[in-house]
Amino acid sequence: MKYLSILKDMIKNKTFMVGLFIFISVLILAVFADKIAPYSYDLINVQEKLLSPNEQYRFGTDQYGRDVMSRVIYGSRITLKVGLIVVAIETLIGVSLGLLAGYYGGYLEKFILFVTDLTWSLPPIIMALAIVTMLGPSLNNVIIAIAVVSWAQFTRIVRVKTQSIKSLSYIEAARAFGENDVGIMTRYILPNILSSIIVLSTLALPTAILSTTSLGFLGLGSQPPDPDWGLILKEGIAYMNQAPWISIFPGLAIVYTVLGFNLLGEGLRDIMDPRLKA
Amino acid sequence: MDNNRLITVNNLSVVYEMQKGEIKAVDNISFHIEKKEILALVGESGSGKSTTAKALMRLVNHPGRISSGNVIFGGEDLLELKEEDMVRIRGKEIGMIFQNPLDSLNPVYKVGNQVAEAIILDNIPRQDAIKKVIDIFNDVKITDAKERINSFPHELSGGMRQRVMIGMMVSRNPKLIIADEPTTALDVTIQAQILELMKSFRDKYDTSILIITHDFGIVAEIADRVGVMYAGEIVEIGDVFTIFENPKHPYTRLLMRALPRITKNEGRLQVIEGSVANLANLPEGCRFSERCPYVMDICIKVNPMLTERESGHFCACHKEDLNNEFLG
Repeated sequence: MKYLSILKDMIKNKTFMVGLFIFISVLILAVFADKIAPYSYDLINVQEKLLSPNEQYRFGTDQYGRDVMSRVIYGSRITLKVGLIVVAIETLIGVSLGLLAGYYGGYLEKFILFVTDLTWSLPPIIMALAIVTMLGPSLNNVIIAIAVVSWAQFTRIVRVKTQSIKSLSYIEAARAFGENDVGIMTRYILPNILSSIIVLSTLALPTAILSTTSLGFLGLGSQPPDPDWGLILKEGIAYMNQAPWISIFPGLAIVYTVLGFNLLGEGLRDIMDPRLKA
Repeated sequence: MDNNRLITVNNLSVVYEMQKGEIKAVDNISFHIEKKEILALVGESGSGKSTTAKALMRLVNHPGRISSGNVIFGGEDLLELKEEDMVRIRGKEIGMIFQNPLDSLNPVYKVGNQVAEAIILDNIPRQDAIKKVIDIFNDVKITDAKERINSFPHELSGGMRQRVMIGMMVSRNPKLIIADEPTTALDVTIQAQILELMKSFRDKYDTSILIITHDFGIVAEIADRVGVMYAGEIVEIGDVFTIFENPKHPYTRLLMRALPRITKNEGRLQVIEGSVANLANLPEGCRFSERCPYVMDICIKVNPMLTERESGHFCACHKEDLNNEFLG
């Protein structure tokens, strides 16, 4: 009954449906990349380098004669994987700290909020740059770097929500029948703020994707020959005059994905947690 | 006699730390509850009765703080226990039913699962717990128990939710149930059913009950003994029949006079003039002196102690020979 009405809201919400369509399309591309892509992403064919889009290579070829379309399709795997892992880590850190701060209050809360504010005051890309430079350029380090700098908004929102739920009488009732703190946080507070967390996570996904592609573009993320969209874009810059398609298509892929995930998140927010707007 | 005591509260005080200073919400009260006994604490809003109930469970929230006293239960002082041990007592030994059944249930779980969670805390497998929930729901007279366990709280009426709450609290067979105004949010017919239900649990499981209320009607219906609270103190405590027949404290008398009666045609309802003493600025003497029609010089200077008037009937008043004419 409850789920049915949510489903109805979803179908009625155009933003959400467009976002969902884009999300599913990217998902299918990523999962079935090896079936959909006409070539392998690292198949070099020097004789056919820098070809403009044609019947055989719909997005053209790059400086090594690799099929740009195949590389963009395989790239969706990296993008999705990184985006999802980053958001998962962010959510885990942010939600746990937010719950602890909101539930216990006192000095613990002050300390967590201090760290949160500190993290938030640093420009994320610069921070990530610093971390990646320290750890060395690789995709895993990018994941760590981005997750470490962007959990702050989760903590703040979860903390406020926890505080407001903590004072409700069903929490008091739970304590009265012998629930301990961990039980109250995981079984009482968390399920009641889950919708906000889902919305926040979905909205954090495009940001995470943009950050990874940015770091990839700066050469700090995936290393060649991985078909990271940011990396392909950067490699294409050198050939911008002769073969603009090398950069244009991964660029479009980024725009398409980020736009889609944003729409998905905004739609979800309207459906599940209208109060989160602001 | 002491063997019959389930819980003994000695000199319990609870203070609220406000910016202006400390406010004593509960001031040095002592009472006990015997096994199988129903004790009612009656008083106006702000008299400290709910705070007392929470203090027994150690559920007083910041800025409140239990400042002194002890609560002896099962040979231990609950106020000295570590928090982990207190968690073990809550629900298992002492259960609590809250004033507002409408938001005492977690809105995201089906009520059956919620009660089952309480039972599972005793290491009972989930399958058995669910079966037990159905039994309990039948016990608390929820019709269609098998269907109802799959309802969400918002799909149930207030009375039903209070039954679920009571079911949840009795599911672990606590020795003492504290009911904080359990029927205030319910209408009168449901009220009677809920009280009846609580009495039946007392008879069936030998549970003691501490019921907090502002309604002498409920006291008359359910309680064995009654304590009257005023401004954080117990001013009179004793057997329910004794107190109803021969209340010794002027406040108790006035409270009873304020009850609507259908046997007498008295016109308008009687009220007690004034309002509960300001806890931040208590009078030096008896806290009721400002509203008391019998006020004497000594009342303004000295706060009276609880003294035993008859066996088991205590009263805190300087006037020891209140006559009955006042009851009207």
